[in-house]
Amino acid sequence: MPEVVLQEPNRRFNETRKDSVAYGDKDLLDTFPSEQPYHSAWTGRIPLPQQFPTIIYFWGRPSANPEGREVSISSWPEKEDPFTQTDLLENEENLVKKLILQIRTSLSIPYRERLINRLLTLFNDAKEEDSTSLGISIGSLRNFYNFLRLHPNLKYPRISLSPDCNIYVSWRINQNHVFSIYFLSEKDAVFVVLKPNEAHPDRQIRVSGTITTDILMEKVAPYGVWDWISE
Amino acid sequence: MKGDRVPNEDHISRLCQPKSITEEGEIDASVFFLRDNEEGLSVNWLECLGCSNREEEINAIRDLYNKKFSRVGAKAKITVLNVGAVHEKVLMESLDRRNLEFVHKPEDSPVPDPSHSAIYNLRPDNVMIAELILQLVNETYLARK
Repeated sequence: MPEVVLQEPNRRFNETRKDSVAYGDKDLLDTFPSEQPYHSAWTGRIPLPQQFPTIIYFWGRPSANPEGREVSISSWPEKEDPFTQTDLLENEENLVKKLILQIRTSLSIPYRERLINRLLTLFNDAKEEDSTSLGISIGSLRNFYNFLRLHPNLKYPRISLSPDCNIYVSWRINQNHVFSIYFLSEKDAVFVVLKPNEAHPDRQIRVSGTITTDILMEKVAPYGVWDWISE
Repeated sequence: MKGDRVPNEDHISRLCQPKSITEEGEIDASVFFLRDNEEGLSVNWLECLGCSNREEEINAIRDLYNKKFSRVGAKAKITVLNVGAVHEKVLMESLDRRNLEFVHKPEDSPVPDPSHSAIYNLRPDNVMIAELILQLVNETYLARK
């Protein structure tokens, strides 16, 4: 069966780490009203790490399956010198955690508490696997959050991380109806749609491509994904 | 022998770390993504271990992963796939009829891993292929004893 390719995938993965260390002067995405709390953090206009009024550290790792539980946090004294490699990593980790916790202010996301707990679990899982990783790619996290803000009627997706700690989400009904999005840095994402071909029950429609997240849903709407991903 | 093709009738295992496990405890397609700097997806060739049954193979793989990786999470899993089934499905159903190669790549260090193998002809953005492979996952084990 011929398959539809909306756009050939490209290789933007080198951008992931680059953006994750590009503080302050990059406007990654600016789609939300300026009155949104913490607006600057989600648009990439991030204050330098040493300007954070408080750095939040997590005391230990939540137990094996912390979804649905409150995750306790405690303050930790800020380090004096922010310019060592270790401190840079810590500053970036703190930024990731700060961004995750700021989802709490997004009233348009109905499952924000569950989402925060899931992202914190994934962050901790990634750090446990590799203590030198960022936990979650900042650019991917920002991209994912902005996508959710654009589409508040989405069902809660299943969420995991790629080996490079980018966010991967899916809405699926068994293996028959699948809509998955791999959030890259900045505004790009790779998506997959799998669904039955109603005209030919023995065949499957398979669509994939790379696209900016602001127009993603518009482009996949003809494939009927809203039928199984929205409330 | 290094560089040999893994036969279609044989099986491979893949370690699925907790960040690729869903809240429901299922393996997600992200476990089959390549890292930016990887050329092949690391797997282990089970028949190469010379065990007499699957239970022995899985125990040998658990021991190996616990030596080889600094941390195998409590939720981590091992999935087992048939080489021929993966090759056939990806060839027939991927958008560009991708011809995956399963190659024996034994490693000596830091931990001897004589069954180590790799899947080639993947790319880091192969989300569709990862989803196709995920459809074949029906045999999983906890990675810790």
